[in-house]
Amino acid sequence: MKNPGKIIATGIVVVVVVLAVWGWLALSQQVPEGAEGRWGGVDVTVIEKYAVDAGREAREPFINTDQGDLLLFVFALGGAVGGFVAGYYWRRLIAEKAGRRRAAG
Amino acid sequence: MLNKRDHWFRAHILLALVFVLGLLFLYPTPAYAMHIAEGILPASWCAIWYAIAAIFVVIGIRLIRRRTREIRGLMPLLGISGAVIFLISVFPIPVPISGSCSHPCGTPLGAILVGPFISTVLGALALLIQALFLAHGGISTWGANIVSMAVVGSFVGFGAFILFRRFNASIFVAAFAAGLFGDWATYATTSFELASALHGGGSLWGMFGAIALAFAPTQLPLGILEGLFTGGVVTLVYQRRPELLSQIIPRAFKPVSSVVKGGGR
Repeated sequence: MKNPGKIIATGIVVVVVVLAVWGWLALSQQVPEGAEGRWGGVDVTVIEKYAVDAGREAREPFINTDQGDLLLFVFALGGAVGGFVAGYYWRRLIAEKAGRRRAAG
Repeated sequence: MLNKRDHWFRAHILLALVFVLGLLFLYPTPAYAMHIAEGILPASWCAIWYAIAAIFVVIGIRLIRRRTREIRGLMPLLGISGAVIFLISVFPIPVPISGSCSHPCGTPLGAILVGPFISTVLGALALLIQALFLAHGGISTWGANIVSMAVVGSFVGFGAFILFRRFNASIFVAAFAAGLFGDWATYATTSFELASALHGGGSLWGMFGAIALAFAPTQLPLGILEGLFTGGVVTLVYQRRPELLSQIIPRAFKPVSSVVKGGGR
């Protein structure tokens, strides 16, 4: 056996993934359904459910953008800005450096 | 022949447009997941989580100041890591069969790219923006959300990566394990934070188990997805800029010359 550590590490990951898939399939019928129905976020179906059971409810956020399409707008804007930043730095880090190396080589 | 200006346009503006349009299509509806909303935790528990989070954030800020002077090329990595953590920690992913939605954390990836303390600061900033403008999380619960997603996600992910690299696992397998365990540890911590504050006269561990079990059908497959994402990105960065990653985590990334075609010559 050339590299037992590598085989053991990979084996552990494979076993964990197989168990996780089995757990997912076995538990999938137990997903608590929130007021928003199917495809609800786990913050509502899990976190808020247990909080309400314990007598605590979520308050409105300090800046409440959850009004009409305003939340959709800020999510899209945040996604666009975040995507631009990630793309810009990815290009600076990977594409431009690789280009300079090729030119120098 | 394209002149210099056309090249600049193609390189920058088109790239930006692709990202903007792509993300607009990827954000049809907001969804929430591990973030604990405003008002759910009592004030005393908020203060405890704030105090714990503050220790890691202060150390992280000091490290950012020091390491940006020491390591050239760290700034672009900070930019990528910060943006990725912000984006994928609000990225709603529907889980088939379970019929629910949740999101990955991004902090295990950040921890491998820039180190766990710095990744904690980036996670904290992402959570602050989300709490202020995206009705996602809360200001009073910011400390608790930092501890679960930024601190635990970063440190468990980083620890898993180092451990698996010690076993000589490939970069992909080690980064996959980091994403997988970092994601699950984040949700386990959220379960603990909720259970510790809300169990009342009942059993702390009983409530913790019930909440963790309720997260499981959604988060077990999402952990695998986060592992694949983390493994893919770390492998890609390592293939292109191995010398940069070996400066950040010297023991996990053996210092090698560039493997980019034409590099290292």
